[in-house]
Amino acid sequence: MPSALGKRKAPPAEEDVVDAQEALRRHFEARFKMPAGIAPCAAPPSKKQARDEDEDGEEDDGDSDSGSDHSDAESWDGVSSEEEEDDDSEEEESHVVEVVDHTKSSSTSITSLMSKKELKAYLSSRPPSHSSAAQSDSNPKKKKADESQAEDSAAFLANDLALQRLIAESHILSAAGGNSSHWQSSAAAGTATNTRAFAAGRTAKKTTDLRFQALGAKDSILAQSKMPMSMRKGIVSHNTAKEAKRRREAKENGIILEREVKKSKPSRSKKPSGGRGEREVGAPGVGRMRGATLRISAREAEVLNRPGPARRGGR
Amino acid sequence: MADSKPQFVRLTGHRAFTQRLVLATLSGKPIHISKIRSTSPTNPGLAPHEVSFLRLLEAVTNGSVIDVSYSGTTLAYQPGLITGTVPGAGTSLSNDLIEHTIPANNTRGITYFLLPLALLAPFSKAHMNVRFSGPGVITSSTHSTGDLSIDTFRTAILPLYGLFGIPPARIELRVLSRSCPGPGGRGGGGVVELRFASQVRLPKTLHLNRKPGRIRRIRGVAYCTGVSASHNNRMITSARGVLNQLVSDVHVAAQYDPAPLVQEKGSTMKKKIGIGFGLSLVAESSAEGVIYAADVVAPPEGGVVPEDIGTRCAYQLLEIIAQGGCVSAAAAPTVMTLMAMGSEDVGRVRLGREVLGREETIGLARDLKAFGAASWGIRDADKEEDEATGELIVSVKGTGVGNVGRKVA
Repeated sequence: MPSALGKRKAPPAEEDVVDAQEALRRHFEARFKMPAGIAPCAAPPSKKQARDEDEDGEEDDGDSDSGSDHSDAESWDGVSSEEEEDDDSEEEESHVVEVVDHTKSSSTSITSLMSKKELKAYLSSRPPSHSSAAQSDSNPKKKKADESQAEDSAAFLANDLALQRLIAESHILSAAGGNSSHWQSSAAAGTATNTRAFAAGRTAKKTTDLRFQALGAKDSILAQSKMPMSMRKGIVSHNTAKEAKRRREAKENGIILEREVKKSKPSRSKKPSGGRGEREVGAPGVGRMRGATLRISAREAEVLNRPGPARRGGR
Repeated sequence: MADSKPQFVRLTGHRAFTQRLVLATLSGKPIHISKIRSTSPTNPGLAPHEVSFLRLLEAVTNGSVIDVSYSGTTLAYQPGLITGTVPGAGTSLSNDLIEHTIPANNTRGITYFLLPLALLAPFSKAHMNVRFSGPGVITSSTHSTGDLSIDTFRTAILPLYGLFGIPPARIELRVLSRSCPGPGGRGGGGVVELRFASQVRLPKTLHLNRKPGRIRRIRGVAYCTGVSASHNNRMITSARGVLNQLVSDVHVAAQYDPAPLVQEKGSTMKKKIGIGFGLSLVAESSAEGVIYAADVVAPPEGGVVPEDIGTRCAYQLLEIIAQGGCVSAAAAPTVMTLMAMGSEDVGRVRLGREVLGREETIGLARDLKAFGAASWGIRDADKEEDEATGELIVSVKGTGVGNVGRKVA
């Protein structure tokens, strides 16, 4: 207590009150342990700052708590509100300057300003016709509670962006340990990669990349395009072997998995084009041309030999 | 059939200048006003805004003769037909507008010109499209002369035309640039366009003699020109502080504009002029057509906090509502004139005592009598069991003149 010598001391009653508050706060925190994520709040400015003001006569930087503490030594009014609206109360004692900040938009701005519809009616060039304004007011109030569609109908779900994103990214999130009820996911949560610092950021990178692809990106930014051929072949073969093993084990154990998506090889260049509209340019009208041989199937021969509609000219 | 010597209606004084000219134009009777500020040593004769209004009248009518004496203290006006915007006669073909410039020494708000113009417009032959520009257009309300702002005009006066069968949906008031009064209360750089496309033969007879009803909601516009936009929020907050205790539905629109630039005379430099802020509040009642409006603006020399403006406007609105009646004092001249120009039928309107007892309203009644209209009948509104309303029912008999251009012979 360095300032107890001479000069002006803070009155003891004030200190008792403040100490009591401190004691209560400590008791509360001891009883209800604060979760790890919450940072401790700033120390109450009462004691130290009051002493500073007494000694140095410093100006208070807009902290109204000290001002109210100082003025109401006996009665505790509670914490004064952050936003001060009265700008002409300058306290005479101890150089407390009340700073009023009008730059940030006050909470009333949302409610006091009008909806877009009303703004259109009131700020446009036409005079507002009051009967129509009254009707538009009452309609949104009569909410359509008897909605024919249930809340989880397909149309709503298809438009629910958050839901669709979750479904699309579920594999990534599960691999990062998001699903605690699945054995694989909870096991993954304990691995070194997922407990490192910034693990959440790494999954965020992957999910963002997925979103970009949904929005129309051509390639994934995380895909490795250049790799030695042997390395790539090794990775691909390892993955196929893993997948084949999974399917085989499941089949042996009677577990039904999702349908296999067969990787299609590039199709044969020369399709049997016996149908309409699939002909290449320059190909003969019937049959298949291979080298110098034209093969006509029996059915096509039948069609050719039929006496069709009278052809113009003899040739 | 012109008389050899037209019988002038003789009036004196500069008061109710535009109102008298409008009545003359609507009724077709020539008017002679003398002793216009004849006792004033500094500014005798017509004021600049009055001269500007005469020019405007000349532009929208056809065949009117205006004679101003040398000193400006006497005026003889022989009205012509109200034509409006006829292509070729004063309007360019491209934008179909009459351009009217207001001089820089003007001290009245633009509603000083708009109110009488809107009275003439339903009776004109063609659409009335006028654009006000120039170094003297003040779109906000004025502190010293008590003119309305254009927001009040648009939201509180123009909808009343709907009661007379003049559809307000065909009236358009475009504010291309806003401006508060310049230094000394004179000048401003606003640009306003009025497009009045609803011409009628005769306004409908108005029967607004029921009780005014309770205030259902309050709307308004807070405008800031050339000052910080946070003033809007502050005005709205302080006005809501007063009004929310009485009406729950209070919504005010905020309008911010940068300060307009006006070309100074004699130089190519432009000057920022017309800086200020103000609030216009409009209260709508449950009865249709009953609108009360209040308008407060910061004085041109400044020194007033937005919170003061907000609370003052809220209290002014409450005072106007307390005056009662179905028509507020600001709209009373418009409504009474339209009733008087209606068909030869008796219309009834309910006015508060303080509204009817104003010099303005009584002056209007006297002027109408001078122009040959019938006198008004005034009686007490029926006393309810609980409250003595103190309101009066005024019966006005229309003259049946209407729109000469639309007369079906």
